[in-house]
Amino acid sequence: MGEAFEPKVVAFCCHYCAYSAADLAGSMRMEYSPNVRVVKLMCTGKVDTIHLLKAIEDGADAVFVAG
Amino acid sequence: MSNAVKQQDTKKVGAVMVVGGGICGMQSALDLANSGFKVYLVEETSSIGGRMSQLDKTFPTNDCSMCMISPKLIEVSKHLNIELITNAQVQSLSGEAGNFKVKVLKKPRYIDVTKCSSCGDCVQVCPVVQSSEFEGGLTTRKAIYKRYPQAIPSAFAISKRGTSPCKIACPAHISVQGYVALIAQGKYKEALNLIREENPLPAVCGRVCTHPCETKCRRGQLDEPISICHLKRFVADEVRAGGQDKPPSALPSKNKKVAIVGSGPAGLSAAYYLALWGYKPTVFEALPVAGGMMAVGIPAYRLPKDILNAEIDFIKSAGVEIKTNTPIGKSLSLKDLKAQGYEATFIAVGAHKNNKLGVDGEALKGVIPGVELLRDAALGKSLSIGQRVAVVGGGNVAIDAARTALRSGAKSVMILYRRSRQEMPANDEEILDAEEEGIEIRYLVAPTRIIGADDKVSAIECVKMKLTEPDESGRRKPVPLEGSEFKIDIDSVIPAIGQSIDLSFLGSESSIEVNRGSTIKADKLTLQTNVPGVFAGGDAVLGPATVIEAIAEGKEAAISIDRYLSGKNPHDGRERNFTEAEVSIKDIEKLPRKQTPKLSPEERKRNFREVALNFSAEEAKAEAERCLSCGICSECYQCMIACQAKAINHAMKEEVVDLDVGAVVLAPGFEPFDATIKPEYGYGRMQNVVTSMQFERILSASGPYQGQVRRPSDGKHPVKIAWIQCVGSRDETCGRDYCSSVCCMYATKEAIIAKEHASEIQPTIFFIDVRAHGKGFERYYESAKNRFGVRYVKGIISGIKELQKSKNLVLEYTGEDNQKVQEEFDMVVLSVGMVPSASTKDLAQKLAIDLDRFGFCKTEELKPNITSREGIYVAGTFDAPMDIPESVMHASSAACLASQAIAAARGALVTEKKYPQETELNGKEPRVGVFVCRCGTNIARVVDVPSVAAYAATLPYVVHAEENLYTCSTDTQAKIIKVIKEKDINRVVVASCSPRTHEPLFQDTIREAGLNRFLFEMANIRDQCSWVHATHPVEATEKSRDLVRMAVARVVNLEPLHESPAPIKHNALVIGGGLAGMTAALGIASQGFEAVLVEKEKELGGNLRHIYYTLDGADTQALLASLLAQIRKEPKIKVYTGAKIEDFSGYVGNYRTTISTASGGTEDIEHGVVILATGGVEYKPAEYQSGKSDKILTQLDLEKKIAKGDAAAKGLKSVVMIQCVGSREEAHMYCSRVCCNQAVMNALKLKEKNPEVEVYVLYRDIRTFGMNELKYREARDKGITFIRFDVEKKPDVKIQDGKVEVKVFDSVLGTDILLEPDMLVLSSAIRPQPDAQEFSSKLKLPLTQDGFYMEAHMKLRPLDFVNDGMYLCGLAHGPKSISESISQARGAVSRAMTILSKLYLMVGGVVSVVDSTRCVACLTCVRSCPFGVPVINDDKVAYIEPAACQGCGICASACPRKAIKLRHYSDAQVMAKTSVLCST
Amino acid sequence: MIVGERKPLNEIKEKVKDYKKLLILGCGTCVAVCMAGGEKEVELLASQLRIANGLDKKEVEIKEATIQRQCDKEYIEPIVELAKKYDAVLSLACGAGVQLVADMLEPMPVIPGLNTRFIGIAEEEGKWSERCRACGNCVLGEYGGICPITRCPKSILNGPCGGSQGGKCETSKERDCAWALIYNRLAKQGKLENLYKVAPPKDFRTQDFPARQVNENYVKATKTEEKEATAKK
Repeated sequence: MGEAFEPKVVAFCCHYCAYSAADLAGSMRMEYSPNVRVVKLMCTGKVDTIHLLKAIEDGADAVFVAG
Repeated sequence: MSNAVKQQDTKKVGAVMVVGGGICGMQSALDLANSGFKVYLVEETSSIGGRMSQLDKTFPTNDCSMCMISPKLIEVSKHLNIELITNAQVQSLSGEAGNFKVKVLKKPRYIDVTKCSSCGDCVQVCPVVQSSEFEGGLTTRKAIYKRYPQAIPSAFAISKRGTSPCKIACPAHISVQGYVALIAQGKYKEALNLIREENPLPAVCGRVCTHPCETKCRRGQLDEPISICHLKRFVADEVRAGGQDKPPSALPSKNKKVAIVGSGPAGLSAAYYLALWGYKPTVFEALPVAGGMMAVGIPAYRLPKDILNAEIDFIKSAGVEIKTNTPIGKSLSLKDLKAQGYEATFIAVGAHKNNKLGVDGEALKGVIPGVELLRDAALGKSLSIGQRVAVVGGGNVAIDAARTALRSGAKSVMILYRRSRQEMPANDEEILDAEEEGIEIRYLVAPTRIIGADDKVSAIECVKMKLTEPDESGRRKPVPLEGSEFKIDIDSVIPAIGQSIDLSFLGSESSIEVNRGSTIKADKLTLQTNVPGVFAGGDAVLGPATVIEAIAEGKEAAISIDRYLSGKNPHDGRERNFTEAEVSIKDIEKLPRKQTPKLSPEERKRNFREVALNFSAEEAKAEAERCLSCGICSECYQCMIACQAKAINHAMKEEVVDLDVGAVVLAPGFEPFDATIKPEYGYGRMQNVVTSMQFERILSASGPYQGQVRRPSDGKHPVKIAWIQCVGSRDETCGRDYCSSVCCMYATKEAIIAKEHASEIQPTIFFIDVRAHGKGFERYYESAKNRFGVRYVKGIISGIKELQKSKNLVLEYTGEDNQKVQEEFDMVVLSVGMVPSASTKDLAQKLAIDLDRFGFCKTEELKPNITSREGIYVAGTFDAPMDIPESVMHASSAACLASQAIAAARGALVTEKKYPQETELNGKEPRVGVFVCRCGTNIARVVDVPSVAAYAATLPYVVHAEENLYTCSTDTQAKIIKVIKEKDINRVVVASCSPRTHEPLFQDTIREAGLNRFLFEMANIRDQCSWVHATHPVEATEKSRDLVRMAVARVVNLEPLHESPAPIKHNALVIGGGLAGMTAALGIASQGFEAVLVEKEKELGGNLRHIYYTLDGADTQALLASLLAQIRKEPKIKVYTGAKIEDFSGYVGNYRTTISTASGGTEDIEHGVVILATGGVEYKPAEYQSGKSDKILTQLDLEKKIAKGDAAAKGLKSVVMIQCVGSREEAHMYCSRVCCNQAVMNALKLKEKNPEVEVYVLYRDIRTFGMNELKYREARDKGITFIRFDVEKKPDVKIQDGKVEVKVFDSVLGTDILLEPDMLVLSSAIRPQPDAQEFSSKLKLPLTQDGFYMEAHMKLRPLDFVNDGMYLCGLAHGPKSISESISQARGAVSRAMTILSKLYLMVGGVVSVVDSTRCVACLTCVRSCPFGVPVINDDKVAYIEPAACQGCGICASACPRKAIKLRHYSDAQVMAKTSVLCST
Repeated sequence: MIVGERKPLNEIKEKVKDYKKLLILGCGTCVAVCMAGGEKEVELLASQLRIANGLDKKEVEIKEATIQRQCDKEYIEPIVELAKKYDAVLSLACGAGVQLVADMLEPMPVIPGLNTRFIGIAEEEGKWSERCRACGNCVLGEYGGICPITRCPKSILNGPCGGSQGGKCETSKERDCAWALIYNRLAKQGKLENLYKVAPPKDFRTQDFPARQVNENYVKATKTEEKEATAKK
C-alpha cells in the first residue's frame, strides 16, 4: 500500500433522525471526510447484526449505526 | 379522496382556513385534511414551523424539537389537500359560518417555489447581510434566505422592505443600494454590470451626475448621505483600470436598423441597449465628436475626454455605429433614413442653443454664449476671452463657463445671479469649487444692459434684486430694486441662463408635432412621437435636463423601439410604481461620509486636469458599508445570475387570493415578550443578557455557535448562568399580569441541556414559584435539582449590573435570610413570557372577533376554542399561553369544532390523484434507468456528473443513464416518464438530493409512468456528498459512483408492494362516561358517526357530578345537565351504564369489545376506534389528621358545602388550606395541576360569602398558570394569606379538644406560626383510576410511572395511543381542568375522525410478514414488538396484522428463525447496498 | 427448553482451523429460540468466520444450513449427502444434537459451536434462567413448584441456609433466595406446614448416567414385536 489508508465506512442511519442530521450537515455546508457511505433505514430498530457483519465482509473497514 | 365518506351539502363549504403554520396550525390542518376537508394553511412568514422550529430540545423528554417537527413539515407540504399559502395575511372575511369568503393578501416571495431546488447558490452571492430573526439576532443572514435549513416550503425567499429611496430618486432607477452593497463586498465587476443594466455611462455619471439619489438617501437624515456618485465613479474607473471590461454578449441579431439622431447620453443609451438586444443602431452626430453635451458642454476638468471616450468606445464595442459630422437635416433627412432601411428613429438632439439675456448690447463683441464657450473649449478652438469676465446665470453651465473662462486666460471671473445662494440650481460642490478657485459670485444681481465701446463689451449694467415672499408654489420671485442700478467694468459677458432646442433640422415639411417651448411632443411613457416609428427623448423632449435623465430616456426609447419593431404593446407594464422602503434610523451609530480627495485650487487653476480624485479601495468599502440597506434586498440581481433554475423573479407582485371556506381555525401563535420593555434587566445594552429564545438557538447544533454554549460578548464558554423567570409575565408594570405557563419548564430544560452540553456549567434559576404543572413535569424538575444540580433560588432580581471589563453580570437579590445578595454570573438568560403575535390585533379586527385585554383571543371557560364569532375557532397560544402538547390538543379540538360545523360537506372538496394502471413485472428482468442530477451547479461543481452518469450506464441491469440540470424540474419529470415508456424501464434510480424531501416527488413520477412506487431508489449525492465534500471533488465523485452503484444494487432487489383497502367499522367506542367521555361521544355524533358510551357507574357524569363551579365562576352543574340532555336525545349515541369491559381485541378500524351490561348479560361491540376517557379519582388523604375531625375536609367537600349553601361554611372565622396533599411527593411525583386553582377559587368564594373570614393557604409553589394567575392576584388583593412551606418542613396538624391546630414555618418571617382554623381544607391530589392497571393490560395500553395512561408521544401525539385507532382524553391522561378535559375530548374526536372519515383503510406496503413455514412460535416477535402487534394465531404461528403493523422491523431483526421479513427492507434488500460496496 | 450459549469466536476458530470446507449446521428448536444456534446465529457465525478468515488470508468454503432439530435423525437424514461434501460440520445444536449428527455422519468431525448450559425458561426477551437439573426425582410438589435443587446454589432440601437476606441469596444480590421464594409461595398456598417436614437426603441414584428412557407405549409395534420375538428366542 503506497498511499495512505483510506477506510470505507458504512453508516446505517434512521430516516427520521440520523439521516436528517446528515442532510442538515449538508444544508449547513459542513465538511466531513468523504469516506462514509450512508445506508438509510426507516428505523435503526431494523438494523440486524448480520447487516453490520456483511458490510464488513463486503469490504467496509468500519460500520456505525446512528439513530 | 374517494375513500372518504362523502356527504355533500351545497350550502356548507367543505374547506377550512387555518391561520398560522406553527405546530398548532399544522396539527389542525393535518387533522382536517385527513378527515375529508380541504385546508388552506395561511402563514405570515415565508415558511411553516413556527416557534417550535426555533427550539432546541423540548421538555420533559429532551427530544430534539426539529427532529419531531420536521416529519410534520414534510407531511403538510406533501398533503394533497393542504394548500400552503405563505407570506400571507388575512385581509377580510365575509359571509357566515359554513360559508365564508376570505381574501388573503399574499406578499411576493420573489422566488418560484416550484422551481427553487433550495440549493442555496443565491445565498452565496447575495451582498446584503441582515440580522437573522430566526437566530434571535445572534448571527446574520442574507436578504435572500431560508428561515432554517429544513424549512417548508423548501425554497428560499427574499426580504424586501420596499424600494430604497435612492433607486426611486434616480431617474434611471438604477439599483443603487445593489451596487453600493456589491462595492462593499469588493465585487466591482458585478457592481458595474448592475449599473450598466440601466446606465451605460457609469464613469460619466460618476463624475457629473446631479445625484438625486444622494438627496433622497435615508442616511442623510442621520448624518450624511452615502457618497453614491463617487462610488459609481470609483467602481467604473476601477474596472476599467483592470482591463477586460466588455459589454455582455448581445442577443442574436434581429437584422433591423435603427437610426439615432444625436450622440448625447440619450442617444448613446438607446443605441447601447438596442445593440445588446440584437438591433443595428447607427448614431448620427452633427458635431465632429461623439458625446453631445458630455463632450462639448461639460469641461474636461470635470469630465476628462479620455474617460468619456472610453465609455463611448465601450458602447461602440457593444455593436453601435456612430457617424460624426453627419447632421440630420437638409442633406440627410429623416425620410432619407427611412429609405435607407432604418425601421425606427430616435431623435435625441439635445439642447445646444443658448438662451439670450434679452438686454441691450447682446450683439456686442465679447458676449460669448456659455454653451458656445464650452463647446469651443472642448473642441480645442482658441477662445477670445477677455481679462475680466462676467458670467450670467446660476446653473451648472454658468459655473462651468466661469471656471472654463478662468482656465482659458481670464484674470478675474464673476458670476452674476439674480436670486440668492439658496435658489442656485448648480451643484453645491461645483459652487464651492468655483469659489475656491477665486470666482466671485454675486447674488441678487441681474444684468440690465451690456455697455460696449468700439463694438466691444466694456461694462455691464446690473440692477440689484430682492426676493418676494414665497408664492403659492413656494417660489420666491426676484424683483428689481428700483434705482439700484450699478455698473461693472468687464471685457466679456457670458450669458448662461439656459438652453433651448434647435429643431430646425426637422425641416418645414416635418409632420412631427412639437410643443410650444420648441420641444418635441412625445408620449411620456413610450417617447413615441405622433409619427409611427419615430421616437424622441432627452433634452429634445424634456428641455434642458440632466445626463442621467437623458440616459433614462434613452433606455425607455430603446424599450419602445424594441416593442415597436417586434410588434408588442408599447404601454404594457411601463408604469413604474415604487413603494418606498421605510427604515428606522433609530439606534444607528453616526459615521461621517468619506470625502473624496481633489486637486488643490492651486494645482487646478490654469489647467483642465480633473479636479475630483478617486476613492481608494478601502475608502470605497468603508463608504459603501455606511449604506443602511433600506430595501433589505438591494435588487443587485446577483441571485438571478446565480440561480440556474431560474426560480427568482424580482418582479413578483403581491396578490389577493380569494378563498371559500366553511370554517376558520386561528393558530397564529405567540411572540416572545420584548425584553427591552424591562430596562432593568439590561437586555439590548448588556451583551451577555440574552432571552430564552436566543438561548434555545445557542443550545442548538444548527445555531449561531453550532451547539456550543458560548456567550455573545466574547464567545467564551460561560460557567455561571442565571435564568431570571417571569420576564414579561406575572408583571402588572408591563401590562402582562398573566403567567406564561411554560417558562419555568423551559428554563429548567435549558439549564439541563446546557449542563449536558458542558458539565462545568452551573445553572441558577431565580423564580417566584416553580410551575411544573404538566404531565411528567414534576419529575423533570426534581431531576433538574437532584440529578443535574440545577440551583433554584426563590427571589426577584431587582437589577443587573454589567462589569465593564469582563462583561460579567452582577445580580442583586434577596437571599434566604432576607439579606441583599450580590452574585456574579457569566451570562443571564431572561425567561421571557408569551405575548400574542403582533399581527393578531389586526387579524382580530378583520375577522371581527373579540380579544381580551392582553390581546389573546377571548373564549369562555366552558367553551374552549370557540371565539366570539360563529364558525371561527381558536387554538394554541393565541388563546392563552400554553405548552406544545396543549397546543397540539387544542389544535385537534379546534379542528373538531371546525369540521363538526361543516360535517355535511365532508369530502366535497378533497381531491385524489389518479394514476395509470400499474404495469406488472411478470418476472421480467430488471431494467434500470438512472437519472443523475447536476442540481444546477450544486452537485456538478464538485462531482463530475457526466462521469457518474457514464459509470451508471455500465452497471448491471442499467439500460439507461443520463444527467439532468435539475432532475426535479417539471420538464425532467416529463422526460423521465417518456424514457421509462420508451426503454421499457421497470426500476428507477435518481441520484440527486435527499429522499427525505424528494422521494415522494419522484415516486409520484414513476407512478405516472405506470411503475409501482416501491421500485425506486435514490442516491443522495448532494446533501450528503457534494455539499459536505466541497473541497474533495475527486473523492466526492468516487463516493457518488459508489452511492449510485449501491442504489442500483438495491433497486434491482426491490419488489412492488401493494396496499389494499381494508373495510372499517364507522363507529367509536367511548370508555368512560364522565365529562371527557360524554363530550367525546357527542363529538363523534356531531361529526355524523355513531358512538357507544360505556360507563361503569350507574349514571353518567363522573367527577363532574361533584364539581359545582370553575375558577371563573362558570356553572358546571348546568353543563352536566346539558350534556346529559344532549346525550339522551342523540340517536347516534348508545349508552351503557353500569357496564364493564370484559374483553378487548382487534386493531384499527376493526376492534371488538365485549362488555357485561348492568342487566347481567354480555354484549359484543364492533367498532372502528376507541376513545378512552376513564377519568381519575380524588385522593382521600391519610395525612394531616384527615378523617379525624369533621373540621378537616377536602377542596371538593368544601366546594360542595359552598355550593349547597351549607351553614357550616357560613359562620367561619378562619380557614386554613394545605396544598399538595398527596401530590409532588415520592411515589406520587406529579403535580395535580388543579388544586392551586381550586384553593384560590374556594378561598375567593369564602371571602365573597363572608368578607370577614380569614383564609390561609399553605403552599409549596402556587401554580395558577396562564390566566388563572389573575385570580391568584385577586385572592391576594382580597386579603387571603399565602404562606409558603418547604416540603421538608410540612405543616403540623393537631387536634386538641376538638379544635384543629396547624403549625407552619413561615420562611419569610423565619418563625413558626400557629393557626387555629374553624376548618382545615386539604387540597388533595388527583389519582389514576384504581383499576387502571388491570384495564391497561386488558386493552394493552401502557401506563406512566404515576399510573395515568401513556400517550403515543408526549409532545406531538398527546391524544393518541401508540396503537392506531385508540385515543385518550380527560383525567385518564393526567390531572386537568374542566376546560382542558373538554378540549381534549374534542381533540380525541378529531383524531378519531382521521380514521372514521375513511371508507376503508389502505393496508400493506412496508409491513412485516411472517413465513409461517419457518415460524417456531418462539414468541420473540411477540415480546419485541413495541406496538404489541404480533400474536400466535390458531395455527400456532406468529401473525402480524398488516393494518396494525408500523413497519419498524424490530421483529424481523429479532426473529431467530428468520421467519419474518420487513417488506422493502428485507435482508437482501438492505445488504444489496453493502454487497457492492467495494466492487467498482 | 435447552439453553445454549455460543462459544467464543476464538475457540471456534481454533477448532475449525484445519478445515478448508466447513458446514455450519443450525438447529431450529431450543437453541434457536434461545438465540444461540438457529438460522440467524448460523448466518452471523458464518459471517464472522469469513471475516476472520479473510483477515488471516485463509481460503475456506463455508456453507450454512439449519434443520428443524438435530436430536432427531429424520431431520438429519436429508442433509447427510450435503454434509459429506465438507471437511467438517460445525454444529450449533445442544450437546445431544451434536452427538447425533456426529453419529450419523461418522467418521466426519463434528465440532460444537455452543456450550449447552441448562434446561430453562425465557424470563423475558434475551434472558433465560435455569429451572431444572433433570435430577430424575422431582420434588417440586413439596416446594410450591420451586426447585431448590436448581435454584438454590447449595441445592439444599431443608433451607434456607443462614445466608438468605432480604429475600436474596448470599452468593449474589441479584439472585433471589430460592427458599425465600418457596416460603412465600407456600405461604400463599397456605401450606407452610410442608416446611416442618424434614426432607431426607436426596436419592441421587435416580440420576443415572447416561440416562436413557423408554416409553413402551410409544415404542412402535414393529419394534415391540421384534423385541418380543427376540425374547421368545
